[in-house]
Amino acid sequence: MTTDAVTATTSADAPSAEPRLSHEQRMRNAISAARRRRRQRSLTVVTLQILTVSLLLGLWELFSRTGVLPNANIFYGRPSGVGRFLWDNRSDLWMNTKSTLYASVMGFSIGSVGGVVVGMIFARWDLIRRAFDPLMTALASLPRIALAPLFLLWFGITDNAKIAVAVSGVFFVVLFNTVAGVRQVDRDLQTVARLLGAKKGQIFFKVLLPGAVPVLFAGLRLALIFSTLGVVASEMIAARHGLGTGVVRYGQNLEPNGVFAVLAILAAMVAIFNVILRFCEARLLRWQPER
Amino acid sequence: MSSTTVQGNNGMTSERITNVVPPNPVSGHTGVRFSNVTHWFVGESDANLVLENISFEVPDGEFVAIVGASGCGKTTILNMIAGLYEPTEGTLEVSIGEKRLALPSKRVGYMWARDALLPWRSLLRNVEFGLELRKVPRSERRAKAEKYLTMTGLAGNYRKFPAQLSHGMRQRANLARLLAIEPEFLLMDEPFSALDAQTKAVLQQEFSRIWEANVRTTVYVTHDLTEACLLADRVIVMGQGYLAYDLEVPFERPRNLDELRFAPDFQSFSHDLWLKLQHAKEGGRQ
Repeated sequence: MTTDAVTATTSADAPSAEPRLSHEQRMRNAISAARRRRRQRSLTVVTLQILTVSLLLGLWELFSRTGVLPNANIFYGRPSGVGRFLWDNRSDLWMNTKSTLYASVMGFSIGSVGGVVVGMIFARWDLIRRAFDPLMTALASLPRIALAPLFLLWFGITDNAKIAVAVSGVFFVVLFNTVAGVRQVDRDLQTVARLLGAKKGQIFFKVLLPGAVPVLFAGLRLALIFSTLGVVASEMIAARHGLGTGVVRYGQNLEPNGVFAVLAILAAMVAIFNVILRFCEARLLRWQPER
Repeated sequence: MSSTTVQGNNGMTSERITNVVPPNPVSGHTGVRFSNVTHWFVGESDANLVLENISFEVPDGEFVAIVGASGCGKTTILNMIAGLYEPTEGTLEVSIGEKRLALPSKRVGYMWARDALLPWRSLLRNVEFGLELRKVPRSERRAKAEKYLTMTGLAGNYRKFPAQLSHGMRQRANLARLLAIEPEFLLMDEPFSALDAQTKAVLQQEFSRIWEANVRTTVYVTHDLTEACLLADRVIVMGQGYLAYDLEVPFERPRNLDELRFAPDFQSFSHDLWLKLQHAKEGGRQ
């Protein structure tokens, strides 16, 4: 009786209020409202980011024009000058960018595949890891750029020399992160898998490896930086092409605009790498709460 | 919603089960035999005595509940049966029917209070996990996983990841994962302890129904005396590291838990058990 009465009042009220929405419709509304809020928020953030960068560039331009930064032409450059330099030397810069890009991508790929594979072997067979531990620790703590002269000796002034420097940086970071990633996987998950009938190999591939992915990605993000660092540093020591050669040349020629132009290209390159990596990470780590 | 599920199932089960299952189908074999088992947890420089000279048997096909204060060694008993560790002294035999098992065995299913679902797998893929390890073809394991997810009230949540679910839902998925491998021997460690009263009652009834439809040796550890009396054929009360009491549960199967839990003789039985547990906590025994 009471329930009837309640239903009656609500349905009587309904026409005067908003039209009744289905459950589906209300759910969709809730989702799109949340999406709008998120978009609004990210719009605000992007606006603020653009403002910060423009403010900095504006001040730089202003100070170099008004002489607050003395002899700006040969020491500090200015944003407009950097822009002009990028345009005037576009074909030369593009050629060098391609060379650095190629070496960085190669270095990153070879180094991380190697790091993951060796890391997996180390994680799977602890005895092997222990046997190699002193060697790996020693190699990993070397400043890798000090290896560049050796690689130049072995490979000559070629792309391979640059790639080797990059690989030597990338490999160890990825290796250590793979091992650490596998080790931090919850022991209970392994035990549960064993209780459900998993063999050693199955535990490794179905529990330990997927569980290591979050830590592995942290390593890959670092590796990306090491890869570009290795390539550019080795180009600064000796190379035919590449952005690193540009940095040295423009610096020696007192062309700060040229140096900044190269730095801007490098920054853009790393940013693009990062976006790609983030995208892969988001796909692979969908299961993590609140990312 | 849950109350309708209970009613619907009860109506159906009492009918179905009376035909299928003899009330106490013990085969005459022994499911578990502990003979003078003593267990030490050995640390870096010290060792704790967890179980001291324990002997008991569980007949094949019997449902035994073990109750006792925390830290009394209940879970250690389960872990030993599961083959996670071996007794320091004494012997332990686990069999299904006539066949003695090498531990750990794929035929034994073990469920924990902690769900330990793989966080990167969807619910469906988590429930499929045990079947996947057994190389069951994809379509078959999917069908089974869906069946058990539906049985545990999780239909429609197949694609969700564990982090998106409440604790109770994860624990249901855990039960579904255990049932999906259709183990012939069950070890349960406080499987429903983290659930709210309503969900717990539903799952207990559901579990009891599944068990009665497919009887298998079960060792069930719980803090909850009512749960022990509702589900088990026999209750073992533990003191600190020893068995204090061993009681037959005198209720007929199939059981309608919602009626049983309010029956006067049930209440007096569980009250008696409670007194015995108190006595065991103070070091007493039979």
